[in-house]
Amino acid sequence: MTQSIADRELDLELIGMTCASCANRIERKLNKLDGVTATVNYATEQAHVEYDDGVTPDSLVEAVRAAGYDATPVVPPSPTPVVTDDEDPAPSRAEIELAELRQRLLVSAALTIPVIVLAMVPAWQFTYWQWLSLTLAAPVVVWGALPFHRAALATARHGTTTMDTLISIGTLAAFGWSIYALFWGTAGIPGMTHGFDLIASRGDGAGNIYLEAAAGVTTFLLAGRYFEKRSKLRAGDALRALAEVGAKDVTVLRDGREVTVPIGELQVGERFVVRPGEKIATDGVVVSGASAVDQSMITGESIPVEVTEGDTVVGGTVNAQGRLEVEAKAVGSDTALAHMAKMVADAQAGKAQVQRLADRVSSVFVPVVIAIAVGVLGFWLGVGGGITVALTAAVSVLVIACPCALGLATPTALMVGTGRGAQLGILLKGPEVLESTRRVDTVTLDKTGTVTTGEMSVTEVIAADGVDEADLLARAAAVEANSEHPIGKAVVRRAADLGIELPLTAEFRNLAGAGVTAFIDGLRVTVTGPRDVPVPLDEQMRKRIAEASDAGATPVVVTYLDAVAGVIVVSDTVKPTSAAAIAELKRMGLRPVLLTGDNEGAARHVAAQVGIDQVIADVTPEGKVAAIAKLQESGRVVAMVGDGVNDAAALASADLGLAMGTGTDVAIEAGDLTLVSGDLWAVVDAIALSRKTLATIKGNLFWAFAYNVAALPLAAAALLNPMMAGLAMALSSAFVVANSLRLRGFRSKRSSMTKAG
Amino acid sequence: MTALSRPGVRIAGFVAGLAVVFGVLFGIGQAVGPWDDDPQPTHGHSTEHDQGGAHG
Repeated sequence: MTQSIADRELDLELIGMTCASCANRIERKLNKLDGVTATVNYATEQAHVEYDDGVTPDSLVEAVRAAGYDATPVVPPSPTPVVTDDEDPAPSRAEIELAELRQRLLVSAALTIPVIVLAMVPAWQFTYWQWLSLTLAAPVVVWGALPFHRAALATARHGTTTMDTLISIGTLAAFGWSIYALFWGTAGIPGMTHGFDLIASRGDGAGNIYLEAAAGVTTFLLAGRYFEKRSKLRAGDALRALAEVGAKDVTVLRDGREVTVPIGELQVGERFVVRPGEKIATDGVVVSGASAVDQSMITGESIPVEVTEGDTVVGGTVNAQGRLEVEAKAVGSDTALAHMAKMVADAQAGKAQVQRLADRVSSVFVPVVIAIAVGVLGFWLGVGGGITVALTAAVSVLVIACPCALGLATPTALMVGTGRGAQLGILLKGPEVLESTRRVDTVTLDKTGTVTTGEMSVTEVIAADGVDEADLLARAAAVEANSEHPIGKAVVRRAADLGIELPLTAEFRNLAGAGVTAFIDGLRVTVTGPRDVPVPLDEQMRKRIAEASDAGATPVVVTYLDAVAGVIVVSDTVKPTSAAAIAELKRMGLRPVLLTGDNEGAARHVAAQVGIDQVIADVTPEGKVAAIAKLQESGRVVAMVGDGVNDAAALASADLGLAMGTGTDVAIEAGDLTLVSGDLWAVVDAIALSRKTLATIKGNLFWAFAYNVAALPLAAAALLNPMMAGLAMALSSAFVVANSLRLRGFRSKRSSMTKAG
Repeated sequence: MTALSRPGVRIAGFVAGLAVVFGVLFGIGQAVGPWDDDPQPTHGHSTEHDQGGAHG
């Protein structure tokens, strides 16, 4: 979340919202201001506002107040956690509100239970029981339901209605009628009893009380609000956990001395020390030391990553082994961790298209329902059904119609889904991405770094006749040890893996663009590409080199003693999980396409290894965009998975862009989804989780609508007791919240496949 | 500012609309009534006392 005046963007924390209609109302009020574009999210209780120079933050707050609510600008998250002496940080406003709501709920429930029990069990209705009921129910309806009355009054002053209007009118109507019946009717006389029925019937209104309905509805709704608020707090756990990953203090090297300072004082370019077991304070480059770094909280990968001088490290990860000296490259809001937190927050603050429809429906729903309730009252009075039936029907209509579940349907599913995604290393850029994942039928995959590791490794060593394979590798590795080239590193790594000791070299030279050369024991050893071999190649070697090239690998030729000693074949290796993940994508009905700038042979070789049938090779970054456009023209809905800067344009042009990386790349800005782990299983999980989240939203909306549509006629026909209407409504909200929380149990397909295997 | 954007006007208009709805539905009720298929309360709320003494 940002508050940047220069960018003319502001996040407002909204106070006093009680339902989706409130959110809709504030949004409309803000958008009426010239030069203002605002999105209000009921779930996060925040407004994201973009505004012109002519508008001030104060005028935005004023607009919210004019709508009957309050607002405060969101303070941008501190790049560093605020360090206080207190072990327990001060509770947030949401936590205080939740505690207040809990107190209100508990008191109301304690008072309501005897009222309901007395009303339901005629045998326990002692003399004057109705007056005890009034004594117990009055605080519930007046104090317990105060948040509803207050919100209803605030909006009524502005000539509008919200769902609180329905609740307030419904409970006050039931309570007011009971007061009338007790004081001016016949319900207050000693010895009065009445039964309890789910279905209302004709009777003498002045002899009946509805205190159990008024108190019961209030308590059920308070319970609904309480669990809704609690779920909202819980749904934000992932984001908070992400924000808390960062280190609090850092040991900086200043004038050769180690000084521990709060992380906020760390500057870009400063060197800091990370001891074993400590969190790396911020993003940087290792300048001294080597260690294994546990990146699990960032990438979800459980295996520590080896780092040494020159390697980049990400803030928030844990140094598992040795002492590291790191030069800070990014601090505060520029770090990968801060970017990740912002992406999650933005996705949660956004609003899916389906939710806007629900908001529009809610805004006209309330006045229409009040009109229906009045109409029902008139009809039953006109038809001679009696005041009891008429009032029961009207109050039931008001209570049953509250579209709380409707307002909760999208935000809760979105928050839980994106939160779970963040835990799995899947960051959604916005809720509209969900719709794209449903429609996607083709997944184009970049080759290097996406399907393959992007790291070269030796796949074959071909020694010439009479040459020892280990000796060949030792000499080549000794020469390449002086080189920084990826091929050289691969050769050295292979020699090290085999435990081969490297001989000493002298007079190392880099043959620009051709290879490397050095002297070993007085003999010149050269490692070059096949075109630059200084001596003639025999037929057999030529054939092996051609075979390797056709398979997409890179052969290098080692020569010494003026003869070819052998060929070392180096190639980019396929990630061990790629084939299984691509098989799963196919099983999900998606068609994988390999899209690469590499030559056709290399591309086909990799495609065959992982089970991809369609290959588009030899394409430039612009060519990738054109290839995606061509697929789209043929009616495909295309997702693009890529990792590099060269994939950025393709990621942006695809219907769904999935960027693999650590959250710092250009690709991430261009993509719709960021996959932190860099594993193709993350693509499977991202699409599966997004589809499941969308299905949950639709399921929630369906049940919320179906409930209102089905229950309204029942209530209007006086076939539903108001208290049962309140209970059913609270249950529908609870159903929606519980349905959304099911997304917390989403399991990575990788882990389920591993278990199955 | 149009008249309809004033809260007072909107509230008055809405209440008037409600009155019309009430009147129309009351009339429809009278036209289709009376509802007398269950003149004696067999369930629901009932009073078991001398109702004559209740007023006061």
